Amino acid sequence: MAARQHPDSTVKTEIDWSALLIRQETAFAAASERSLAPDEEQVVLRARAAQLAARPALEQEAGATIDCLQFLLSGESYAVELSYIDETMPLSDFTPLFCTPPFVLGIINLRGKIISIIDLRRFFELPVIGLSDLNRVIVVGNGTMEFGVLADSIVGMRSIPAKELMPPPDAFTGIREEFLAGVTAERVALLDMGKILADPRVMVHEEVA
Amino acid sequence: MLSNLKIRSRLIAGFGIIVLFLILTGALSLKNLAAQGDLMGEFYDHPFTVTNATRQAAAQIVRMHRSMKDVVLYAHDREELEASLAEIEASEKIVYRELAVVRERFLGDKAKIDAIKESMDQWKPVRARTIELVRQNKIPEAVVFHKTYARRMVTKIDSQVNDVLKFSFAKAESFAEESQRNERWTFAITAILVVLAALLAVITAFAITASITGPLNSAVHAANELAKGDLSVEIDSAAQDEVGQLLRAMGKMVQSLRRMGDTANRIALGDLDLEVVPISERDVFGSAMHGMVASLKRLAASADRIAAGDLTIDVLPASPKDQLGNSFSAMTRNLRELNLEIREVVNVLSGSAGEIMTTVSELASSSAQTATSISETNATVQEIRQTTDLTSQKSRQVYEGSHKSVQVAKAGRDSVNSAIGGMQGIDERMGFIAERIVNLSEQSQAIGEIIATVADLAEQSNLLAVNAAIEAAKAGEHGKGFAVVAQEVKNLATQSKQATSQVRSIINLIQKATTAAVLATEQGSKAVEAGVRQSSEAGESIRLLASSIEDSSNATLQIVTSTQEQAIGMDQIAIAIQSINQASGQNVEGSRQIEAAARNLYELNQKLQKLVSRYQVA
Repeated sequence: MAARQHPDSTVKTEIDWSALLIRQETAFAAASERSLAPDEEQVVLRARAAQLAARPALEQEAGATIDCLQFLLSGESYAVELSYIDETMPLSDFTPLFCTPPFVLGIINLRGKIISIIDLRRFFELPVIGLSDLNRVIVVGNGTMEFGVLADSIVGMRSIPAKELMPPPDAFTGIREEFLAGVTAERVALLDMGKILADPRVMVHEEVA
Repeated sequence: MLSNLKIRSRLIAGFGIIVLFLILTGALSLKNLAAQGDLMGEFYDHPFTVTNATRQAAAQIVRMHRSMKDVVLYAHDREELEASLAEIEASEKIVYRELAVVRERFLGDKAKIDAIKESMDQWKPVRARTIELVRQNKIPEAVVFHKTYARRMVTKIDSQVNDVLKFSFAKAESFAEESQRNERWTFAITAILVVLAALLAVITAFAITASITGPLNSAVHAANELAKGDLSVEIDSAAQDEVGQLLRAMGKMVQSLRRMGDTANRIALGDLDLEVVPISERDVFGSAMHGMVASLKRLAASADRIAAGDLTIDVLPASPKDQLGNSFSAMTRNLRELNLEIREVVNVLSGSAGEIMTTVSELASSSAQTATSISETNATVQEIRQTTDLTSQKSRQVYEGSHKSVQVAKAGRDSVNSAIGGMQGIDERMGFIAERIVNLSEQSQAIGEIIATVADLAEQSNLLAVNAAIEAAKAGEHGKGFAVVAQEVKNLATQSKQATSQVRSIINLIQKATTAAVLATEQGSKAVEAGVRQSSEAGESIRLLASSIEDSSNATLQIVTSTQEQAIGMDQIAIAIQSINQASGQNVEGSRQIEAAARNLYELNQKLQKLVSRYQVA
């Protein structure tokens, strides 16, 4: 008797097929109307507005703070005062320079301006990891001197209360200790960029005979 | 006269005469040939040799004369002179030698030769004088001297020599004539002798042949007559030679043959009362006749005894090839055996006749039993007939059922074939699905690439937001609002980055799912293949089933026909039993008749026994 139905034996899975089709249609519909439902959108926007509204109050109570940019280098967090920073940019193609100290990575063309890039890891004698497209350059300057500082990644803006700053611990030795302004409780090392910019060691005066 | 000589002597005498004549002729010819040879030898020794030598001498004399002339002419040349002188000396020697030969062989007057020699001796001082004059250089005197004396001398010698030559030629001619005469005579004598010898040989041959063939011809004639079987010829001869002896022996043979012929004639007429005596120990014909008469007498005696009823005799054949004797022997032997066999048969026959009579009575009683058995058998046959009808019905039903089964099996086979076709369709569709899924996977890869771009954009937005925040911080109190916006932009960038990573993970899931789907379709395809194989196996089983059902259907058909045949057979058996019943009735009647016949047989046997006992066998 079963043999009679042989030519259309796929009938058995017919119900599943329709369910699948319905599922697929709903999925496609969901994909096409990416925008959130009006209610949800409203909720998100309100939450964001509340967040924004809350921030000035927090800063108010902090008193004297240092605005700085936090970044990562060799797994350690560093910060630079915003007043020294011109801008940040991705490390795209740079030109290596010969006859320079090892901490000078090379030079880049920043909108017609030639600036050198300094690898602080070499300057501070930290372990060196390979470069990638994700590496960032923080352009710093004080009017007289200007160069780019290499960073593994940029964490973001930060305001550090002046009283929270503590002197660098004993682990920071040598040249690093010299250029540190302080360390926060979250182990963010604030670099004294004014001192670095003014340091004669950063200047490159080498002549090749 | 010749007929009294043996043939051998006659032949020897004839050939002897001929050989004598041949020897005579040969001897005469040889003698004449020898005479001719002598003549030729003499001819060579005398006229021929003398002529040659004389000529040689003449030639040398001429040469000497010429050389003398040379001496006189070339006297001033010393060398020439000496050579000429030497030549003259040599020639002179040859002349004397040849003259000596001529003198020895010459057949005429030897004084002629001596005269030539004398002339030569006279010429010698004349030459010496001339030479001396030349040596003294008195050449003109020498010439005169030579001309006056030498010429005269030479002419004289020449004439003498010619005289001798003439005589020699005449002698040679006489020799030739004699030789020819001799030859002619020899030829004539030889020819006459040969002709005579031939004539004599012919006459002798004819005489001898006639003396042998004449009597032989009469003997041949008589022998031919004998060969034809005519014994009336008379042969006799008075001659003492071999032919005469032959003719007399043939006469004796004819007489003996005539006697044998008479005897054979009497035997042919059946008269055995005679005695044949062989002429000699080696008389084959006579002894054979004697043996024949004896054997025939013996056979006649044996035949007499057989006629009297005595079969105990043994006839011995004269030889293995004796047809009559063998036949007689075989006849008596066969008669004896025949008589014995007939006796045995008669004995057996008497026993059998008794047995037949007892058997016939038993037969009568068993016929009655058979009749009752036949009626029982008839009832049984009727029962079997009914059973057969039932069997026929049932087997017909079975046949119809199996026919239907065959049709069902055919339908089943068709279904299996279409199932296989459907499965193959599914297989193709499975492949199609797998291909589509792979396409989908490739497209999701494209989505991944787009997502990477989006992530890059988010990163850049993040950086921009940082830069904006820096600018805002630099602006101090006026940048506060802008700092908020920058922070918001940074948050958005972060969120979009998170979203891209989520999309990436979803794409990964999709790719895993597609791989699983492709594997699933592959398994499905394999399952379909197995299904095809199983269905073809099922098809094969159904085919086998159908064929076996068909076989059993055929078998049941055969059963149906055979049960029908069985029913017919049963009817025939019933009829046959009816006939048997009738036959058993007839059997009883028949057995009575057999009884009467057996009695007759017994009486016949008695008569046969009497007949056989008349012959004496042992």
